[in-house]
Amino acid sequence: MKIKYYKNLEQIYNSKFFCIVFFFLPILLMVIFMKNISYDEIADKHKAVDNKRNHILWAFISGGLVGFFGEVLIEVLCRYFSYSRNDASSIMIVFFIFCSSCFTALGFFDKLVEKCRCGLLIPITGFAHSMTSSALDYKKEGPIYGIGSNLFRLAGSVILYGIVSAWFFGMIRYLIGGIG
Amino acid sequence: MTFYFQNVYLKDTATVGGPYEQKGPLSHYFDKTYSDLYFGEDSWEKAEIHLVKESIQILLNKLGLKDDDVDLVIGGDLLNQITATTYGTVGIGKSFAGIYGACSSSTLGIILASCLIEGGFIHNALCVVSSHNMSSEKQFRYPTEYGSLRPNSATFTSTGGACSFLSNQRDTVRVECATLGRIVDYNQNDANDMGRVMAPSVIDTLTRHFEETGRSVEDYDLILTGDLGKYGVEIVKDYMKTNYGIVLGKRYSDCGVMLYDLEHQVEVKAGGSGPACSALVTYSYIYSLLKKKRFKRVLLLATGALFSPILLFQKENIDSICHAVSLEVV
Repeated sequence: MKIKYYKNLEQIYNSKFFCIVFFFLPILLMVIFMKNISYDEIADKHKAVDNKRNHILWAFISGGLVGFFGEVLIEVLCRYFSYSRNDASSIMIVFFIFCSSCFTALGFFDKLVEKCRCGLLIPITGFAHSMTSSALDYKKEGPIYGIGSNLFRLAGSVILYGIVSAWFFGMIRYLIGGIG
Repeated sequence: MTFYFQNVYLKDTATVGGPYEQKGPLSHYFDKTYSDLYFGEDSWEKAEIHLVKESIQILLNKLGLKDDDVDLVIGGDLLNQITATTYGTVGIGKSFAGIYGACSSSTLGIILASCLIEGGFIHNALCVVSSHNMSSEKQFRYPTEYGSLRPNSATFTSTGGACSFLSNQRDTVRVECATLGRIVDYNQNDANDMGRVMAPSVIDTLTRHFEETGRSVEDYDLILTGDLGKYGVEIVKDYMKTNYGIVLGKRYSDCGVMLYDLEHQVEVKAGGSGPACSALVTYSYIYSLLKKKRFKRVLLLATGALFSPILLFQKENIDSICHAVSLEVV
């Protein structure tokens, strides 16, 4: 039995199938894929470098400033105009939405956003900016097919997943703590 | 596939640029530049149509031809259904052919028109390409007023309309040979790094061109790629050197890098792109140098990323294509 086994192995070694599968095919695959891998390697060598530290710093400062002005506005409204804190924060949000939309329409807010990035995109200003810019772009196509159908092009997913997550976390809160 | 042409001549060209091109180093080579992106129209799409119309009018005026004297109008742009070309060329020429090769449309048009002229089917042809920064931003990326976050590798769609007039009448500059490229897929899918996406197509077409013609880099005074940007250029140089042993050296440049002043025009990031980018540079600056006989032979490789936002979201790769045309001084 043993002799037969070895003989078989030798036959396998000598067979064309073995040669192709274990010798030529890996080389062929290497030749085919090596080109690809080495392209990515070469391309990675010449990758553009983004100055992330700068962006983070700008986002931190601008986002902080937006928050600071918001808080100042709320304090002013509470102290000197005797609004409740809830009303004052709503007014603050409306004010920021107005500013962001107005600046977008005037044409310089996109340059500010490019500079500050997430500092202006994460607050409500980014949301208003995305809607106003869509509306501006599609106003020539008319109120229905242009503005109406494209207003939420960018903001649509924020609204959808905002509502879904609000419902989800609301349910969790209800299940754990009950109403109230 | 490489074709040789015997009697196809580049008779004249016309270029119209936008405000960003006006600030660029080649602005005084253009026939006309505007400082407003709307070009007197009221939407971005109409502005691009205006570019096509105006560049064709300038060219016909230069040559003293009427609208009907053109046998074939061939052109393309980036907009859906190549609307800028179709609307902009209404009433011009005896026949029209619309092409789409993304940013490689300029050389694709020249190759197809040259084949028809060489075959004796037509006497002359007008090749037109256009692109508008804002209309392509609107179609491919975000609304124009949206402050999108573009990394340093991103290229900037150039604004301009450019057309060339090919004829079988003898002139200084001749379309000498051309290599039609094929679609290349190197598993690239970063829409913000088009240089990296399109560099493989340049490598593929350039090596095939050298193989099929038996030429080398020394046979050309200048090898010019379409719109790779400054990072794509380095990739091509490095890859050609390491894998094929071809040193491109100083004879090689890129239209996207030449069109803008990359140091001072920071908003363009890695360089220009779009069908008009390669056409604006070759039809103005390169063509004037060829006419002055400063160059003997120039190889133009316009590159196109065949990129659809929908298929990119469906996790498909971005394919690219590159067509080469060799222009020679007679």
